[in-house]
This record gives sequence, structure tokens and C-alpha cells, in this order.
Amino acid sequence: MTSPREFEFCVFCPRLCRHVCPVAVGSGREAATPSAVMTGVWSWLQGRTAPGAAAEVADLCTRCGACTEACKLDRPVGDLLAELRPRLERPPAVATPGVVEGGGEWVAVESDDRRWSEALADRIGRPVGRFRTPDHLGAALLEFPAVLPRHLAALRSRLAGRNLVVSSEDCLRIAQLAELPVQRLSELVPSPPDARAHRPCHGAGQHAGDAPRRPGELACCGARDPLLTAHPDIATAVGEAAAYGLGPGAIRTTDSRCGRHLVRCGAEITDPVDWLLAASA
Amino acid sequence: MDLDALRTLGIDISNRAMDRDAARRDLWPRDTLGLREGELPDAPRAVAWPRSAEQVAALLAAAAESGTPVVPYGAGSGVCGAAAGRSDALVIDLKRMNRVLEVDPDRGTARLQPGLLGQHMEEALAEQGCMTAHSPSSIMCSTVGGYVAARSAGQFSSRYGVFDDMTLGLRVQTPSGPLSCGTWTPAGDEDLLPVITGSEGGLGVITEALVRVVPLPRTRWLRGAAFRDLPAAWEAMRALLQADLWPSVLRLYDPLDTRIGGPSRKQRGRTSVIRRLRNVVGSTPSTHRLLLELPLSLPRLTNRLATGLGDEVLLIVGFEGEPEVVEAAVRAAGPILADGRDLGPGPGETWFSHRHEVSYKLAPIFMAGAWADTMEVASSWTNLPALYEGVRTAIGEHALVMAHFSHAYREGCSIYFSFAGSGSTEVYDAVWTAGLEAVRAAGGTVTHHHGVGQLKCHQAALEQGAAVRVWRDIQRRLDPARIMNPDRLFPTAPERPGPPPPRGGPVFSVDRISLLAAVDPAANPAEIQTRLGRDGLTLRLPPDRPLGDWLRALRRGALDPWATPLFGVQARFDDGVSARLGFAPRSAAGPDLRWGLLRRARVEMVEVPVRPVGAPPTVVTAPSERYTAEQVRPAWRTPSAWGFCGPAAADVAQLLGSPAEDAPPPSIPPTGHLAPATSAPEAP
Repeated sequence: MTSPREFEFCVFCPRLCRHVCPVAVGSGREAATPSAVMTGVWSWLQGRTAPGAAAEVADLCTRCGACTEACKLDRPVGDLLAELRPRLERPPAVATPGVVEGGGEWVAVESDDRRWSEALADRIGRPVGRFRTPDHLGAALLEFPAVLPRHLAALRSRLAGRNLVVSSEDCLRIAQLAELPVQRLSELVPSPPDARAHRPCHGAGQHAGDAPRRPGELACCGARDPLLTAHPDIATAVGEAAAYGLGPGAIRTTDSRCGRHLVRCGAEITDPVDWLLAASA
Repeated sequence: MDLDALRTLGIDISNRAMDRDAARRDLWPRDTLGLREGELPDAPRAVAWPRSAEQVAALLAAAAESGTPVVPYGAGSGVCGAAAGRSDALVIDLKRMNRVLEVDPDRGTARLQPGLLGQHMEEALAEQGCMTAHSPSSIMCSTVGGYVAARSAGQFSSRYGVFDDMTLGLRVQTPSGPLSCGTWTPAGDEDLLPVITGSEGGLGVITEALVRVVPLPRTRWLRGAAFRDLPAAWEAMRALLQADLWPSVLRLYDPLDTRIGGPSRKQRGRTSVIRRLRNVVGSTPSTHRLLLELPLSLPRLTNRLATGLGDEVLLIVGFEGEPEVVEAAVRAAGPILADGRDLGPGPGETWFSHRHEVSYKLAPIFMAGAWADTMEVASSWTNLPALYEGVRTAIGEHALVMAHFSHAYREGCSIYFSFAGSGSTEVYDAVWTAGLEAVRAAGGTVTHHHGVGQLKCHQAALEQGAAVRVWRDIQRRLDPARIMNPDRLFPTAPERPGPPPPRGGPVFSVDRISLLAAVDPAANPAEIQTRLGRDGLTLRLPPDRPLGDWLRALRRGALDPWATPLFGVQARFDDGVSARLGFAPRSAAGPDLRWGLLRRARVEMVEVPVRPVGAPPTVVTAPSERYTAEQVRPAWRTPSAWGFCGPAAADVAQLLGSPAEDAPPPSIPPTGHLAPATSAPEAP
């Protein structure tokens, strides 16, 4: 059982990590500072507020881990929030896994409105099936251990024996948890050589990409749960700030969820699906 | 107030509980105590995040129309409750206006939006090889707008100045319309920059700042020295400043802070008993709580025991900039620091690498059921010992107290008291009441750089006295309906008759320790110089006309930023009520009302800096093409000559070319005497 004391380091901290929090900086919202988020949940643990209010603030976090990296006391903000979240709110609704369209050993996991299984088939010279999953294989369930195993089992039953190719890190993580063979699309198609890299965040200490973060570049573009699903308006503000920080000119990201979000927020950015479709055309 | 109508203008505005809750408080420790006990200020009515000056103007217009109070909000790092919640208010959160608009390293300026966090500001400037060098310990959680509005000071203020000194121009939205001030002041208008700085949201919303930037230093020298006691160390600090050596770091810890907060023991390879005890205590929460409660519940005894630990104190000194200039300054500083025991570079380097981490100590204290706070006051060097003893004794009745001295000037110094106590808000309030009364009794300013807020509003009003009329006059013009953070700054205007007119003249008094002279503002400067010459002194900035006229005509940016044209002023209003301002080289007791007072009342006395004449002689050289004036900091300069005083004068002048000795400083016109390249640009 998580103790309120675990939260108090952040509750009584003068917000010393706010400058690295992508949601606090990008949205400008005081409520999104890690200290305010932890205070909101702590108030519920103290019996002062309702779980719904605590859930609302807990969902402002993208679990990027930037606050923990910056904290001199190594406070595990994202982990503490993730641990309590199942007590604060019900699991979000995710789509029941559909069926794979088309045959073949390989399956393109398409998580947005772009269709790229044919292009992938051309590229690798083998038949590729299509698996549509707008909710990124149900990644929103990652913090709900009571229901996640059943969801993973359903995915396994649909996709067993297939090699998945995914374009987002959320899909990758779910596929790995479901113990399905999986590969990143970014490993199969070359990225534009002249574009700068945006480093998508994948949790504390797991930053991917080939360039250090530049001054002013946010640790996360806001395209992650629970923020993206619970507070899409705030995720957009974070994305707009991230797009501004990236600046003009061609930018690339290896994560299509970040890429699509950043495009909607005004960035000039491409992801592996774009690279594949461009090469195919 | 019609929130939907504002949304149609594209303004992000929220009345969701989570946003209103987060705007209930700033970092006033009294409200942190309240948070622990479940007693918080009211939540505001709504929070808005404008993205432009136009959106700010729309919000102010809507607020004025509906009579809604407005609280401008940066990062909420204020520690005096200036931005705390109020149930009827609209909070204008400026953190979406967080961009660096322009950096011009050649001119030495940057245009910044108010919601930019300090850390991001310095990161962005460093990419272009420059910095403001404003480095408050809150740099990670405070904004440009807050630095201006609450008159922030950073850890390198003795070389680079406080944020007021760095601010060249401001754009402000007020309920009466837009306002430009500083170097952006329209010709013929009164420059209201000294009143906007320190206004704590009480006049308008700052939407843009033009600040001075300097090149990143090429070298940094840091050193620790142990002095036998505080007076010996104060003497060394004062001598360093008055020798025009411009240390970038000057931090003195009192005996208890030397042992608890100072890095000296560790650097000497020994671990103090207190440090070892603290490590043991910190490792176990229950022991932590118990051992914190015991001494804090017996503050008088604990403070008395602490005085028995010895008198030795730690002074950290640092110089930075061009290597040759730093070398000359360090050489000249050697004899001044000779009274201390050299501790090597360790203490300074340890402090430098951990200089933003002190705030991590706060949470464990509150978690243990205690509380902690700080009080930053200031006075002239002459008054400093009495201020230190008076405030320390007053706070020590209720809380464990220690202090350091980290913002020093030629004329005086600030004292930063840190104290911790146990008990409820009644004890907390008792500490502050006693402490602030002791400051006033000792003749200091009640705030050096934390601002006023709800915590110090009554004492700040007492300090400013009848000069609050200047504030009211400007408030009537800019915010006639008084919707801007109303009744927070100067809620009352306690007026007393004020001091009587000074007698004698043209020099009324001289403070030889703080190097200040109180003089007749109407007197001929030559007469003043003759009188001062009898005491071996001369005006540091000789005016080209009577001082009263000269000060009234002085433009912002006309002098070097390290020049101090005015310390104190006494003036009398038409109804006979007088006001006296200037209890310290710098105060954040609201805006700097001295300049407005000069224009609105009959000036009876001005207190200005003086310096000894004779030895060492002034050394004059031609301007350097290799160094900027900011790098070498001459005592005075004209487009054709730079003059240096003090022990490093000959060495620095030698770096620049062939020196010629003993030229008197020129009379300085109020419109400035600097080369045109140093003037600030107009906004596009």
C-alpha cells in the first residue's frame, strides 16, 4: 500500500522539477507541475478530496520520467502515480482486438488512418497482413494490472504465429508484453538523412533517438497516456509547444504516435510510415 | 465575467477545479503549513493562459468591465503570498508567454516574454554565448515576469546586479492601456519602470522585458576563507566592494550557518559533530522527527548552545570573466583577504556545484511536522551589526536561526536569515512580527529581494511611509478601478509626520563606513565637493548640475549598470508631510518610489555615494578594443576615456594600453556619457 509520506517529498517541494516537465512547461498549467499532481493525489490519500479529482490531475502525467531524472532526491513520480491509478479510476475502454486482414506471416500494425501494409509487402517482398488498432493495441490499459492480462491474452489469440511490425513504441510495448514476435518499422525503412531527429520519450531513462535534447526541447510531445486520452486539449497544447521548440525544417521521429500528434500540432515532422509510403511512391 | 466570450477570442481559460486549486497558493511557507493542516487560501474564479499582449489586454478589459480582481501569476515561486488565491479573482497565468523573442549579443540585450522560466532563459542565452547571470536559487521554478514584479536578486548580484539592474525596458498591459517604460519610454513621459518593478501585479501585467546580457565568463575563480569572527569578515567584504574589485560571488555564513550550511569542514577533510548528527538523523524518519522537534521546541536554549560552537565564519569569494582581468582582481584582493585563513578552492567550488539545491531541504522539514522560512533584510554597512544582532535575537526567541550575507554592495549588505520552528501558524506569525519589528527598529529594509506579498505588506507600508502617495498617484492613472491584485501591496497607508528638514549644508552628514554623504540637492556641486574634500572624499558620480536636477533628469541606461547614482532621499509634500526613503543599498519593499518622489515632492536631502580621493590614484586610459566596459568595469567612462580607481586600477589599465595617471573624473550629464553602441535598441 502506497503511503502518503511517499508523496510528501513532492507535496512540500518548491516545484524544483517543473522546468523539465513537458506537460507543465508545454501547457503552462500550474496543475500539471509534478508537485501539483502529487499534491492532488496526496489530498485524496488524506481523505480530503474525491478519487475523481485525484484521477483528473494524475492523468496529466505522461510518465516520461523527466522529473525523476531531474530530482536530486530521485523521487519516482511516474511510478507512484501509475501504482495508484487503478484505485482512482476504472480502466479505460479499449477496442476488442479485431481480425487480421490478409494472409502471410507478417502483419502491419496500423495505428492511425494511414494504410501501409501493401507498401511494406512491396518493400520486404512478402505478403503482409493488416491489423487495425487506433488505440495502439490498447496501450491505455498498461497501468491496470487487473485487466491487462486478459487483454494481452485476447491479442495473443488473434495474432499468435505472426510477426508484427509496429510504428509506435506503445504498440511495441504491448506486443512485447503479449510475448508476440515484433519489430519496429523504423528498423525496416531508412530515415531521411537530412532531417533532424526528435527523441520520443518512452519512460524514465529510456529516451530513444540519436541526438541529445536541445535547450527548450520538451522531454515529451504529449502523445502518451494517460494525458493524451484523458486531456486531449492539454496534450495539444503540449504538442504545440513541442513543435515550436523543434523549430522549422525537416524533423523525423521513430514513433508514429508522436509524429501524428506533432503534425496535428503544427510540426513539420515525418515518421517511419511516411518514409515507407514515400519510398513506395 | 463571460468566460465563453473570452474563449471565442482564442484565449485558453478554465474554471476546472484542478486549475483553480493549483492557483490557490504560491510558495509562502505559511500556506505550505496550511496545506499540511488542510487550510488553504480560496481558489480563484478562473485561470487564463494568454499567448499575447493582445489577449492580456482583452482579459483586463473583461475584468475591468465586470469588476473582477486580477492576479497575474508566473511560476508561483513567491514566498510572501503575493499571488495567493482569492475567491473572486481571475488568475492570469503567463506561462504560455514563455519565449525568447530576440537575443542580440552584439548590443548585449535580449527580449523576453514574462512566463519564461529562469533556467530556460539561461539555457537559451547560453546557446548564443551569453547570459543574464541572474541566478536565484529558485531559477528552476521562477519566471522573468516574477523577477521584475517582485524584484529578484541572484547569487552573482555583486558583479552583475539584481534583476532591476538588468532590466532595460518593459512592455506592460494595464487596465488603462498599454505602457512602455525604461528605454522604451515615449519621449516626454515619466519613466515608470522603477514603479512597475516591485509592483507585484498591482498596476498591470508585464508582457515583455528587454534585459541586459553579457558574454559567458571565460574563467571563474572561487575560494574559501575562514575568518575569526563576523566583524572581521564584514570588514573584508566591505573592503572588496569599496575597492571596486567586483567579485561575482561573495557569501559569508554566520557561525551557525558555517557549521550547518557551509561546506568548509567537509572541504578540510573533517566531518563536524553537527554534520555527523545530521546524517544520522536524516537516515531514519522517526529519529528525524524526534530530533528535529526537540531543539525546535526549545529555540532559545538551542540558539544559546549554538553560540557556544565558536565564532569562526566562512567567506566564499569568487571572480569571473576574462582571465587577465580576473587575475588582476585576485591579485588585488589578496591583501584584503589576508586576515582570513585560506581554505583553497574547495568550499567555493562545492557551493557553486550545489548552489540550486538548498530548496530540497525544505520538504523533509515540513514532513517532520516543523516548518522553515527565510527573511532577507538589508542595511548600510554602518547599520549591519545592529541589524544582525537585533533580528537574530528577535527571531531566536521563537525559532532556531542562522544567517548568511550574500548580496553585498559598496554601501551595504543584505542578511539572509534562515529559521526553523515547530508549532502552529500562531508561532509562525509571532516569529515574523518580532523579526520585522526588529528590522524596522534597527533601521533596515524589511525585504531585500523576496518582495512584499501579504507577509510584509504592513511593514513595507510603514517603511515607505508617505511615499506611498507616489504609488497611489500612479495607481490612479494606470488602474483607476483598482482591479490589479487589489489591497495586497500597501493595503494601508499609515502616514506619520516624517522626519524634520535637515539642517546645515551643503553636506548634512557623512557616513565614512558606508561611503555615503547626505547633501543638499539644490547646492552647487562644486560647493559639495569642496566640503567633502575636507574629509578626503569626493562624489563618486560628479553631476554637471545640482544633484536634485541631475537625478530628476537622469535617464535609464545613461549610466553604467554598476554605478549607484542615489541611495536615499528625503522630500516634503505640499501639505508638509515628509517621506524618507533609502534604508539599504537595495530594497524590495514594493517599487522603488525614490524616483517618483523626486518628481512629486520638494526634495530636502539626497544621500549619494562618495569615495576617498588620493590613494590609490585614479588611472585613466583609452577605451579598449579588446575588452568591453562590462568586462573591466571602469569607475567612470566617457566615449574617449575610461577611469579606474582602487588597488587593481593600475593592473587593469595596463591591460588596456598606456595609462596616464590622476585625471579627475568628468562631470556627468544626466543624459549619459557612454558611447552610443551601449544604448539599448528600440523594440521592433
